[in-house]
Amino acid sequence: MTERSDWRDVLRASDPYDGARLAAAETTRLRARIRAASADPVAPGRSWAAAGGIAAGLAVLALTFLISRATPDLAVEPDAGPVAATVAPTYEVPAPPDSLLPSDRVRLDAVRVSALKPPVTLLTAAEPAVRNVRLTAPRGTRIIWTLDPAFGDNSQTANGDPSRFQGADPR
Amino acid sequence: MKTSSTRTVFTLCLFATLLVVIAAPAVSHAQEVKREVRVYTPQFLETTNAAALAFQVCGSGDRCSIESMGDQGVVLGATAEIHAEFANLLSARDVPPPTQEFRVIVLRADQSGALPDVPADAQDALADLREMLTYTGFEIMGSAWLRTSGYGRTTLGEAGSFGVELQFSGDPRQNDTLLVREFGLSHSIVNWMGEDGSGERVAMLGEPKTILVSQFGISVGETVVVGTSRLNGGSEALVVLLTALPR
Repeated sequence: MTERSDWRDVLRASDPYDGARLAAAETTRLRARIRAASADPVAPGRSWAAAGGIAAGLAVLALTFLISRATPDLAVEPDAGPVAATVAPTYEVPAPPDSLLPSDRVRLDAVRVSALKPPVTLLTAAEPAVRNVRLTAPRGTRIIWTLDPAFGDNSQTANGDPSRFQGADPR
Repeated sequence: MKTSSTRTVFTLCLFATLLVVIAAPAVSHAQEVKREVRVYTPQFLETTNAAALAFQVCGSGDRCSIESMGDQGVVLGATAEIHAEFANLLSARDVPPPTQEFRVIVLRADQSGALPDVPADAQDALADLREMLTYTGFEIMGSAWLRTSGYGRTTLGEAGSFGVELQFSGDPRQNDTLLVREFGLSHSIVNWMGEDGSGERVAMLGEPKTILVSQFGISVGETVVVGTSRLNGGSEALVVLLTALPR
């Protein structure tokens, strides 16, 4: 009974290493009992007692095996952090002063852009029509600029107001 | 005696085998009985993210059954211990999403040299802009504050003719860097229809035209300049100063 209590303790602890170690110790004890029973030809009653002990031991081993397989492993993987979306990288390239690189386009054309000071040759995409470049000013301000061939077209206030993108509300 | 021992061992093996055959279904049945099905409906967390949490708790194998039911929540079949683990994790994660406040200033850029009255951080950004581009003058078209936990839209300018849309991700409570997944600026032609009965001018807005759409990172407290112009400059440009305001 003492041995069984020990096994239950092992099971409660759910420590597979200790379980294996104790199982090996139990097997050693069983082998020793078998050898002792084999070496004693004049004690059949003890032989049956040893057999009973061996049977009980094997039953315990079998139960241990079954319960260890049946008991779910409750260990949870370490917290991997928030599941919410992480901050993805943006494709910003700090531009040298005399040239600019496109942000995320593949097909490139060389275009001279006089909007920039001083005018620079810009490697930009032929497609799509709207082209994005990203600059980093010397003091660190990031500028994301869209070069749009159609910029300003049909964007003025109607009713003959010549000013595009009319400013403050006249009211 | 050797024969007797062999018989004994054989008997024991037979006994152990019988024990296995008898006990295995019983234990398996006991495990199935212990599995409970519960429905978890997160209040703030997306159901798919809640389901991902369940997968994280259950791990590989067939210890759980997990089903994402859209707005209904997550159906989890598992042992009581796994349910407790998942409930704890879910309560820690199912919190209101972070809210971030953005300041948007839309300006028309030209070469007039006029400087607008804008906050100091915006002045610095404009000074950088003047060094990098040919535009020297700026006129405020409108400004807005946008407070959102993900997506926000507002109108500003003459008769609300400018539309600003913004969608961001990231958690300013954990990290200063946010990703503006989409920032869009649109403009509608304004048609003044005369005055209504109270003497107010009535404006009719045309179909909004997209002026720019971009994606970029921004740090809390940073002002990013988002602008657009013709390819070869021209006389004017539109500039947006977007600031992720610190708490």
